Amino acid sequence: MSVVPLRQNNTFHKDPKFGRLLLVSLIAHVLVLVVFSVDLFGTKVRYKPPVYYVDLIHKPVLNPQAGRPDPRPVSKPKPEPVKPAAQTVTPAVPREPVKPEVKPLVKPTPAAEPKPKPKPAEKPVPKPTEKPVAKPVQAKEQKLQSALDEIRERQAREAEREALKDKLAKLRDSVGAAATVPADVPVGMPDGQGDEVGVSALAFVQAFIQQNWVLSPYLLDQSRIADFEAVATLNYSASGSLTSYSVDRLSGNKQFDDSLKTAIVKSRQLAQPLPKELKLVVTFNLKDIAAARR
Amino acid sequence: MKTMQMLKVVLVVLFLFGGLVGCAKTPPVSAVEDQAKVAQSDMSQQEEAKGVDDKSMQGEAVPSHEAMAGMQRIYFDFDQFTLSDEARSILAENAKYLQTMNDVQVVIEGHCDERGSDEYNLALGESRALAAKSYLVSLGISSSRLSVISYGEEKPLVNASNEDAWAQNRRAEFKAVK
Amino acid sequence: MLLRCFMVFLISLALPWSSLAATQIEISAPGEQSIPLALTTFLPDKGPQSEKISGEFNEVLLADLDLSGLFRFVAPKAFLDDAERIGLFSTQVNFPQWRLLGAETLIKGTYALEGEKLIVEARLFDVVNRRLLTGRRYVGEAKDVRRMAHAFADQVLKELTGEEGPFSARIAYISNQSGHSELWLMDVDGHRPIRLTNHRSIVLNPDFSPHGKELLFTSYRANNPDLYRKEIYSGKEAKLSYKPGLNVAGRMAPSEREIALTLSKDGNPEIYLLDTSGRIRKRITDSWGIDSDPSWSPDGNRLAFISNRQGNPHVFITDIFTGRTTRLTTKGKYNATPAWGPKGDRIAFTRQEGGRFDIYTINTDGTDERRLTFGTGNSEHPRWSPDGRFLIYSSDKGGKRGIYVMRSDGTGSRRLTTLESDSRHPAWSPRW
Repeated sequence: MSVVPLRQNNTFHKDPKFGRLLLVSLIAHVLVLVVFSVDLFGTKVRYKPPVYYVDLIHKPVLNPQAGRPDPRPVSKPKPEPVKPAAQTVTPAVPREPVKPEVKPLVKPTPAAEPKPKPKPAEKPVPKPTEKPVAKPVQAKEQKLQSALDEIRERQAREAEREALKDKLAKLRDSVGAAATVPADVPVGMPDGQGDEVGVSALAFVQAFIQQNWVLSPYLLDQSRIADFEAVATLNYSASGSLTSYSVDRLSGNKQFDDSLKTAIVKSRQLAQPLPKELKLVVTFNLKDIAAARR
Repeated sequence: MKTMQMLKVVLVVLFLFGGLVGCAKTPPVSAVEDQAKVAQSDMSQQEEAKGVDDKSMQGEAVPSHEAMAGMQRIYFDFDQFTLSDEARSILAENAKYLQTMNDVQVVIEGHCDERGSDEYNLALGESRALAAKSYLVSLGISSSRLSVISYGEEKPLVNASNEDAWAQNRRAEFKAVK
Repeated sequence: MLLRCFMVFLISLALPWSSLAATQIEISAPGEQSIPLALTTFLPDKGPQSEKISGEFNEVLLADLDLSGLFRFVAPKAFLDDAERIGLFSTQVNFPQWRLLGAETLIKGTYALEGEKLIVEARLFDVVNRRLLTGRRYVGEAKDVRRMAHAFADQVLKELTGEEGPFSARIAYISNQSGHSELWLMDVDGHRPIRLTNHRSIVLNPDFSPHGKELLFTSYRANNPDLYRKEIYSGKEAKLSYKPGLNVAGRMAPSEREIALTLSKDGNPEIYLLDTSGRIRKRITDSWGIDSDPSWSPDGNRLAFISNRQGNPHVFITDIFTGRTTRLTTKGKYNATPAWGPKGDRIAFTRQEGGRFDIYTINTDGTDERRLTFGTGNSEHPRWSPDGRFLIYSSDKGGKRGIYVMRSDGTGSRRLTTLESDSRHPAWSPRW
């Protein structure tokens, strides 16, 4: 293969069109590269609405740790000792005895009847007994039979107990999972870098105020929606109450400004105490709405 | 950004295949395109339209003129008031007829199909009637015998919403004044 | 040098932690975009209880306020005992109870019916700040209850937005209910229709004078599309323009001193200005094609109109003083029925695409075009409410043509007329 193209190449080189074709191909390739690498149209800087991560259950802290949705390994040791126990015992009488256990309870005396069902238990026992029993005395046979029955009964009862244990373990497992997982999930912020268990106090306050801010865009001049902005300074004590506030800059639109004041009034008392007192400069605007309209 | 990338890919593909595609012709008038679509769903509408029709028929006490037996309607294309060859030949026939009836005054009614805005269609109907009038005048009919009126889409000939009905409604009619 | 660098580093480390430093946060959208409103059923003050009165008032007010898009209504089933108490003073209202239900605003009221005489007291409260925002007392007859509710809806919007609502206005439209296309007038919610003309011909395209006292319309009564004017209260009617050919699409200028209309007297539909006695003052357009359907800018300096001078029908804008004409719409093959918004910034129009008409709005400089209607049927003939909040239009999306209203962003559309007859060409009156 490698020899043939060489010859062909030589013949192609003599073709006067080859150079031109090569050039065209080269230009096309370069163009493709250029189109992909150079921004022909100028990237539009799109406003990206911020994402708020807020947890109103956990304590607001200043330096939240990183939060992940998966449970911590600490919770594993609990179910582990239970599960192996259930697994090591059950394999000998796996599941099948669970069914006969119901019947012996209803009809306890006819021990021979469970015969066809507990197959794993039956097989090893009857085989050795069948031959000797056929020839010797009937008394011996009866004794043996009763012993056998007893063994079977005990086995059935044991299996029953094991099954119950298994069930119990499973139940405990599920209950444990429901109860313990939330407490074990590390709380924090997706981008948290601190070491405190809790959510970012700033995000918490921000979400709290935002939830209290009610403003219909129909109140405003629709075409100017991106221009409305006001700034307020809020001082929160460590107990989460608003000690003082000032409105530093208003938008000049009565509806917009009134809605902010109402939001601040409604945010007089936070739902959670703060790690320490907080001075916030809050900028209110409608960038998200404007972005959604675009 | 995704759309940006898509755009680039499309551009490149277009660039590469540009030579092939460039020659394809774009289909002409939009009116033709949706014929089929509309024609399908029209049986029910036609029936409904009849109910409305009854009412508007009562209302036909609108001072209208008698249609003239010897003069035929002419038809127009969608959003057009230019005369087709067929329309011209019909108008020539009409002109001959008018020359035999020297004392008759004629009203030319311009009509449109229901598509289009009512206001624009009034103007369009007027232009259709005027086009017919000026052609008749060019054939030697005295303009003092001819007057025009546009009804826009107010008086459809066929009260239905399909291509057939529309084609019949885009018309100019010739009526005698007493 | 090194030491200073180190100090700066230390300070920069320490700064974010100092308790004095303010932290910046930005809240870039309100948590809730509609105002939670508790609208209580009005209670009888003195005189007999009338569920018809309170029910009708409540229904009209609810419909108007819902159309405004401003509110989210607190479910009346959740109301506690304050809804049953008459107290209309802010000291008598149990605000914490309403706060508990999540309400931020509250409407309470009473009525007194004595024979046919009706007095309605309506109040709007700010629940968060525990104060009265606005209150009105309406005195009239029992049959005026709808008007009272519309008037209070206007008042609520005025209090909350600074601009009065358009709900007390009326809507003129064309209906064939009587067997002919005649001019009708109805409330903004489609109730109380009255027929204004009896031409037994074809009546088209009504438009209110800017003060709302007169209507212009076209009628074929005299066997030609002539322009008429009609005084609404006296019912007096006069032919305004009756030149040969079209006398259509009459629109009175904001100054009420001129009327723009389409005439075809010279053999081609063109736009002219008339004085109020019907004499031609000025010819506005001069092109080979069709020019029609003028719509005044609110300042009265410009006209939007439709023309096919460049092939397909498009919307153009012309300055009536300089004559400078620019094309507004560039997309689509059939754009029609421009309506200049009362704020001056946007123009509504229709576009035919895929055989169907839909309503669009566009800035007067041709930017930011938006499509407002979607789905089946044709939506045509948009006109603005006097405050620019709403658009009224005709649509056959239900199979038959009726009159619809929607917010100017295309949301909240609802039908106003029954589908028993064909209704079209709506026009929203100025406030009166």
